[in-house]
Amino acid sequence: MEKKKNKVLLIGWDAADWKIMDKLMANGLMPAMKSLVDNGVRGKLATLDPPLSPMLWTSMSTGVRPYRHGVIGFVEHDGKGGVRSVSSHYRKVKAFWNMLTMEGYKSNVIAWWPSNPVESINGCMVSNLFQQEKKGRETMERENWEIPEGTIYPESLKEQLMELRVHPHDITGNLVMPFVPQAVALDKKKDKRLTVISKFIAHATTVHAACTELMETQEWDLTAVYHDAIDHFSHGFMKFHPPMMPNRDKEEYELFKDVVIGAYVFHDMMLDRLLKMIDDDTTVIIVSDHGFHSDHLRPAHIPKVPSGPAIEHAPYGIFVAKGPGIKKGERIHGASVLDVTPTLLTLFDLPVGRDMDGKPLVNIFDHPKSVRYIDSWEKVDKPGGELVSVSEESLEATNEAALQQLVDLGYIDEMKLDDSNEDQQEYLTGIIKENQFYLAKSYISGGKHEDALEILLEIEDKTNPDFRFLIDIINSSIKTKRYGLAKEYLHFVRKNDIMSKAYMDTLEAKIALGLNDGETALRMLQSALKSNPDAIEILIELGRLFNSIRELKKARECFSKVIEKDPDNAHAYHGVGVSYLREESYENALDYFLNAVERMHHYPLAHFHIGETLALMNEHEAAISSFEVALTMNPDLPKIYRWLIDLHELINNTKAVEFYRDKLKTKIIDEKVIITGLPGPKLTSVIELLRSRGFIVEGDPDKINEIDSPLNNDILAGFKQRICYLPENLIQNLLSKYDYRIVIVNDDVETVSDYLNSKTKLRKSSYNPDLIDGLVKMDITARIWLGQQPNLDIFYINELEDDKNELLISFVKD
Amino acid sequence: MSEIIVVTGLPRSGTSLMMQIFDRSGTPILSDGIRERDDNNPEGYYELEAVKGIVKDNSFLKDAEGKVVKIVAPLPIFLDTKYKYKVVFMRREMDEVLRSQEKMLVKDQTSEREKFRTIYEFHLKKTYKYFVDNNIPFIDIMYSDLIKDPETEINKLIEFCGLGSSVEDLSVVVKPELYRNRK
Repeated sequence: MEKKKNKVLLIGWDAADWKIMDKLMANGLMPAMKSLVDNGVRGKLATLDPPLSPMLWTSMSTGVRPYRHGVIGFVEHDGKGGVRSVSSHYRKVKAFWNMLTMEGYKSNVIAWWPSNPVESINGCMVSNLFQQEKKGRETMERENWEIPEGTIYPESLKEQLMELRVHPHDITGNLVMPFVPQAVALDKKKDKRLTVISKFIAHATTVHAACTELMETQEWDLTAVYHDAIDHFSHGFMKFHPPMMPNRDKEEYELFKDVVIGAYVFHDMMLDRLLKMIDDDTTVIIVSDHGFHSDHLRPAHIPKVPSGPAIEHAPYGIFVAKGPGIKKGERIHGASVLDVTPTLLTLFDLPVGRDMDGKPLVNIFDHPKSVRYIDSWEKVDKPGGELVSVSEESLEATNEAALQQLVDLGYIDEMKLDDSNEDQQEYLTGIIKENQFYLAKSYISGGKHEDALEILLEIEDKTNPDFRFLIDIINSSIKTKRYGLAKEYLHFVRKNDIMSKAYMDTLEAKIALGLNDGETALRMLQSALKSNPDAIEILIELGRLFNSIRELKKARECFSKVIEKDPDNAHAYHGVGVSYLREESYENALDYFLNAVERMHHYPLAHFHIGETLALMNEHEAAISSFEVALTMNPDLPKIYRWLIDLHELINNTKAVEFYRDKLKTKIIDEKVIITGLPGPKLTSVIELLRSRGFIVEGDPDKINEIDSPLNNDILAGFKQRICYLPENLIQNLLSKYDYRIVIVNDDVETVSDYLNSKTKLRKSSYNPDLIDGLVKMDITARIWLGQQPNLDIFYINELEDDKNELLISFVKD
Repeated sequence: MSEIIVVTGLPRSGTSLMMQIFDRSGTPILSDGIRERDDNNPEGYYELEAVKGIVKDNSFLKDAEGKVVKIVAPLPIFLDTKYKYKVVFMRREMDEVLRSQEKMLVKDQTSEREKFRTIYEFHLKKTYKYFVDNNIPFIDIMYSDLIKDPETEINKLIEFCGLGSSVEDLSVVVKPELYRNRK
């Protein structure tokens, strides 16, 4: 019997967002989408920064980040001293249509952005300029509507597909009515917005027509179609979407409030048609590159900078998959735009490139799916399709039209193509600089701050300062521990008053944290919050600091405010979880940590904390699973290995204990266990307990004068033992040449003050405000520093209780 | 095909001093004398104007075989790998480099010192990476070591480049009074 072919239909809807779709599905307005969601899996697709569509859709089609695929920004250098609309020319790596061609699969690729000029793949390609009715700056009429070269492969399909195009002039009033029910009330001559809507509808219809035609008339294994209309409709009309935004004109709101809904419904109707054209053996995947704010997170103003409208984009797009072997009615977590190509390859049983930044979404499958890997598709020596050649003349006219489209959408500034050479040169320099900035952002998004900084320092110009560049320079300087550089730029920013005071204070707080100046950090964040009480970033930073100094209620207040404003903020949920964990309120902690990873799956610290919480709840097996997840995300954290060793010991899995011990040996060189905390009765009793159990603890908290001893370069140089007591005020001088496990004994300042007074032969009850102030300051500084060190393995202990004692022993032992 | 000796390093790291040493050794120098000697480099710069355009045109390298050419970091990353090279990498304490540059430019750049420090760090890193990636042999000569103990450093140089001169003869070039911008 002939094996049925498993086809894949991949649909891209730029900017599609669950918030709107969920409401429309609930109201029965998107039945096709609902049928997919009910019978398949759904999830959020994390976008990349910067959330600019050509970069994202190329990451989607290649599985790598923009700094590797080379498609940067909306426009690019044409190699002849000019600019052109972003194209296929600069893509440095293979796209999925090339990989499928290499393996003999046939693809239809329609309107993918960017895909002009098309490539000679096994199958058919229609570029993203197919629907364009402009030639240069002129609009071509229906009867002489040419098609630019490089738009269709194979060329033989040109006549067949050209006929299917829908011209914006074909979109009559009645067709616009579902989007603007009161269209008749508008003066079309004065208000061009109906023309814009007609154009969006025409373009989407044209793309849809080409897609259905190719699906019907061509043999195919994969059909991939991309629609930009939801993004365009949203940029134009989301500001009128209900509920009415403050300070909007009521009349305009009434006129245009249905446009975005109309756009989604229209796409659902197109989807319905596509679904009717496929059989049950075809897998359908729908993706969007980013979301779009549709609620209170809609920005009141669009910044007047290039790509300013991208501020309206939300960080998560959509992912839906339905087909044979795919789970039904379930949600998946942790998907990213980088995962689309690896997942497609897995669906075709083709190997995933180890050099890809994304991963196959194996959690969409009913049964475990084996994934094959190769080092790189770039090394596969098979023909995958070449760019078709295009004449200079056609290229020029096409580019000008495409550039004008980008100007119309607000993504790039008005061109000065008719102006003097000098102006053109300036425009070109600006474009190149802007693209370099996007490249730097892409490096930052991939955690490559050094590379970003190198670019940013080259493009930054203090005579014409751009706040976006300056912010990233300061942040990347902090990330690469170049605090001097960060301070130098912050000084410049403050002197020239380039950013809001709140933002500058936040940056100063971050620098202070890096320099172990917890007090300044706290002061700066509190000051920043005063001038901007709603700023999410400040609240998160402040919440984390409060958690570090065990002001747990204050921490929760900060994070709760964030959740109120942004219910999808994973960091806020994680922060609340940490506060509950510190209070030993494990069930609450677990609840919040789970909420955090549901919102951002790739969050190793949250998975680590889930593991820690479950371990403390004696859920050993579940804790092991969580630590294993954390380990796959961050294999360099020694503390994860230690937990896994301890837990496997508890369940007598000696093989696993040995395995993780061996792994841990490769991660650490020398290790010290530090006992610290305020020098009160609890600290003394913890040290006594350890000594009574046979551990040698070097150092003595009763020698309180040591607290004020001058700092050594290597504070542990004189210590011979593995376990040492170190006063809190010296903690921040620990050198990175050792690995540390830290036991922090929590005690309250007043008890410690009394204890110290009694030790110094003062009356126990004598109140010593200077001592208390000193202790508070010391405790805050130490805890803030500890809170900032990702590699420290910290064990907090409040009371000496039997079960806690055993955990402590297990924590400190070799 | 005889190799090209490249003297590199950040501007004001002692690259001109190293060129003088090579000049003294009798190794042919590829320079054009366009940049004239001044108070900052009383013995001259030994530079080639064409090096400035290396990003777009490195064809001058065909005249550099068997000679020494000064190419400041990070410009060596635009070398043509079809030629063979040996590289002398001049290094100097970054603070001294920055102060020396400021003095030369008669410009107070203290408010941008960290920026330039970082940019130069990147330039050095990029240049070293290029040499390593392309298997180009290089030696580091610390400017301060060269001034303090010329014999030892010049000995290293003679050995690395296979120079025919004696250590004593070449050490004459190094005049401690040139080491003037140190604090």
